Amino acid sequence: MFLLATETWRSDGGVQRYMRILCQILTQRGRGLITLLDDPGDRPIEHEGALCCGGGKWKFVLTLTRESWKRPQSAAIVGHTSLLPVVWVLRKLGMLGRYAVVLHGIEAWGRLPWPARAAAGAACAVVATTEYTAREFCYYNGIDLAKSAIIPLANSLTVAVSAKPPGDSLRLLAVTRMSRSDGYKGIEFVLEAVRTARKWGTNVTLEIIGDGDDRPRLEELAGRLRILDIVHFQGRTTDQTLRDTLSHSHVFVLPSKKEGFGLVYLEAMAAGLPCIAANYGGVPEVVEHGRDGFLVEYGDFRRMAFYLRVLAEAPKLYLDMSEAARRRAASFSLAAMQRSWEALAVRLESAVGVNVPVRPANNMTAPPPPARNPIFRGGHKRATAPDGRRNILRGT
Amino acid sequence: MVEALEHRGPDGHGARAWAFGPATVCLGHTRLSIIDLSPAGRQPMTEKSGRYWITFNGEIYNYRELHKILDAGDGCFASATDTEVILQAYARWSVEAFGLLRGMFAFGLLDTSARRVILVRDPLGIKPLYYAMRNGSLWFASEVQALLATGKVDRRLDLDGVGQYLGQGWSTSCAISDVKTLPPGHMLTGDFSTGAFRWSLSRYSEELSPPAPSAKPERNESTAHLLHLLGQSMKCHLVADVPVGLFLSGGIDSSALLHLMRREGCGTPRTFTVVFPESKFSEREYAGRIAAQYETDHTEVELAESDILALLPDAFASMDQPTMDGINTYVISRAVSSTGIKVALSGLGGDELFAGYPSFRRARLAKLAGRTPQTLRAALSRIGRLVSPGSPAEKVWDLLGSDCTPFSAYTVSRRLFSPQEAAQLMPDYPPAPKIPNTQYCGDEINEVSRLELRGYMSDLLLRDTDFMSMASSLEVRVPFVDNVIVGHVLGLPGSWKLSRVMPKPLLVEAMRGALPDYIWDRPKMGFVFPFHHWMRSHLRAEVQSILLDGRLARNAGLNPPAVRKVWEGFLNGRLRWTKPWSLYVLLRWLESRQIAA
Repeated sequence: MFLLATETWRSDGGVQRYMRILCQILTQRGRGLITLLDDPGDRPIEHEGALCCGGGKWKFVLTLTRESWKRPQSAAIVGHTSLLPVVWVLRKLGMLGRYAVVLHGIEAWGRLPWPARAAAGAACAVVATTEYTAREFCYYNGIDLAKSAIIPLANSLTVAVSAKPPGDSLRLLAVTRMSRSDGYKGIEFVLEAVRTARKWGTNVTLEIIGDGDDRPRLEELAGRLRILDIVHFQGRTTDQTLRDTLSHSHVFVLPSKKEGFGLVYLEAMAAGLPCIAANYGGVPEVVEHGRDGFLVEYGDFRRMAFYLRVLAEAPKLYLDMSEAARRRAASFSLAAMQRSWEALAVRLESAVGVNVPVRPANNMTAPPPPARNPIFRGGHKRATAPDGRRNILRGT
Repeated sequence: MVEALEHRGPDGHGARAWAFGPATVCLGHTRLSIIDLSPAGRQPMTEKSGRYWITFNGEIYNYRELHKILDAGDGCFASATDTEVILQAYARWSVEAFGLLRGMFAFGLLDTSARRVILVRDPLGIKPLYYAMRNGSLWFASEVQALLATGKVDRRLDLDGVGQYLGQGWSTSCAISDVKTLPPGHMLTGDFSTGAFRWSLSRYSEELSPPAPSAKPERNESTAHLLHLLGQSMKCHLVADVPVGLFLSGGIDSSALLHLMRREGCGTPRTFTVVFPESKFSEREYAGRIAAQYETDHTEVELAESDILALLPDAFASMDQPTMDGINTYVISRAVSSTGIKVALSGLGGDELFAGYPSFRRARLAKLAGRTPQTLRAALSRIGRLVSPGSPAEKVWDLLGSDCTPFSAYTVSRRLFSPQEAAQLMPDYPPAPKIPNTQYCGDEINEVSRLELRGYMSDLLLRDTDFMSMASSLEVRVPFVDNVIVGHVLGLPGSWKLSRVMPKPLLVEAMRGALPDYIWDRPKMGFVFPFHHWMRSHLRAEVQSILLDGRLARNAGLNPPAVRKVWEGFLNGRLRWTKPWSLYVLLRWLESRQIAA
């Protein structure tokens, strides 16, 4: 089986962290892995049991073609929709078997270009981290929702948790990329909320971890709002610093409107931090309003300030939410994710015979496919569809 | 007063009075048990300290969230009701608490310590609150008839109210001089700390207006968020300790609600549709198909002419204010209530939010027409009216001759009698209504949406739905009429809400393919009884006797020959049925309530 993923070990974004976890799950079973642009060199290398090819996209295509020639009809997990066209062509040529595509968030919330859309339609399964992403993708690309599988992410960051109700001051934390192209993160509203909360008499401080070309604008805004004394821009940090900051904070705040899942919320909740997030995208499937934190409409900084005041003034509520957040994060376990992915991998590999020459080294006869595509769940999704009947809820 | 409202709350009633020196405060309530059916839900209700008291009508859908926030672990709550949440929220946050409430509500709250009474109404006007003042006293109630029952309110006709009724089919305030309506999003505070009451009216929530455009919204994301908000609203509206039904017409709005009910896991929905033997007016086919598709427990209420005639006396007795539309709601509410259902969902609000009315297209046409010189438009308008007076195209000519603003498109669309006709009917016909305070943002579709929400929906539809459904002790909930949804939809471009391909494209798209073609790919049928047909048959004698009674017309401040002319105009096909019917309803209502000019 191939896992096709890009920049898996180069970057720290949510997509890359997901692919690293998946790589870890699949390489334990001896799966092949091809990654792109992870090494500046030209020669492929082994990294954590996976094959990394350096260079550009063409190098990736050539490497994939060569590897699939060696192991024809192998199943594949396509780590991003941008890789679909290549996979589709190889499948048409009989060089790849069944494949599933992984959906992360924004890239799946709309209509794909024709080649990718055709490839998605031919996929055995589309795997999303949230129902929201699955629904949007299937709707815009004309794919039967029954083909989707929901496998939420799992938290891999371990942080010491200590029950610590806010005393004199409520310590807030935001972790985000401050890039102008990510204008949906809502940090400016967090700053407005901090100012409003302070005006209402709530003692609050804010640590912001992350960097980017939008940082000067946000710092300037904090200056205009006269809150630079209580807002600290930390910039990029190490994982250890992040863990330390998490363990010393009270509330995680990131009202981003375009999170497919929001692994950052999970990490914060694992540290016992209630989250204040935006009521958008896949986030409501991670943070439950009124239980693990609060969800606000994008831009509603007054409501955010109200919830900050509430958490500051009600220690029991804070402790209840902190505990609920921690339990919620624990339910998104690596074990559950691993089980779901392993089950999917087995399904992908149980392929029908495809009408192409079988290479002598891989002369296998595959069992017939199941009569109905099962729907996998990550273990903590609300089941809404009735079984065995025409599934109105999953579209026409 | 409590007795006069017994139909609204057959599950219990209560009243209490306080004397504060020369000032006296009385609160009364009739209970329809929906959340927390135990005696703990009795009203008027107080909290543990006994300082705050409340009489409350409505539902607070985010009460559980507020309950959790307010319950600091010291057991301050004595009940699990939303009513007590209001008290505790006010005790904690004072008047700021009102802006945190999400739902439909009207209540009177007494602060015995500060010597203050506050009357509050929800921001969208879902629940009513009427009040009358006289000689330093104030009475308030959910229905006008409760105020009349005091014997203290003068039964004098408000001619301005009658003029509004003739102009648009409803009166913004009330047809009775002494009675006022608390505007949505407002509170009326009575301070009696000095012994005498001093009343002040203020707004606690922001004016309904499209938000200032910031970044251009993205369509995919906005429609996805709309579906999410609709799902959340539906989840809130399903909260009840009793079964919840759905008025199902087979149109886009009610079908969308049905899909959302299923999506939120409500079990087998109970759906209800009114059907007529006259198939032209019956939505039986569409409602039946969508009910079968979603496997609901579906009930058809079949209504013939003789049935409506038999129900008319009861319907009029329940009519708290004169209305042309309300009888439809009365009939279906009565049928639903007879099955044991206490709560029903309605798709009301969908047309206002998603541009379902002709007024929206007219606003667009008016904007285009407004680019031509006004003198040319005025001339064309005059010619058109001369060539085809009283024709269905009359509104088009009126619109052409107007200033072509969204307000004109709205008022012309909603017009019942033209100013000329109204002036003939009513010698003292008041001048044209004032242009409401508006922050016109340049988007004509959203501006009409705002006017429809504030005017037709709030002043007529929601008002009628309330008293006509509560007449059968049925609470009607309106999931589309939610602050957050309204705020989100008004912030989207008006161009997304009109399409040549389908009606309400924004809503259809938000449902993500859940609405089958046969639901939206057909002509729209409003929820209207075939009065046009019935007024020429079974109802003819009844209507004629009222309209031709000169005494009744004069009592209403109307000119009897002009009223006769309207009736004759209908009989010979010149005038639409709405005109004589509206006069009939008005005169009959005034007669039954003994109200005169």
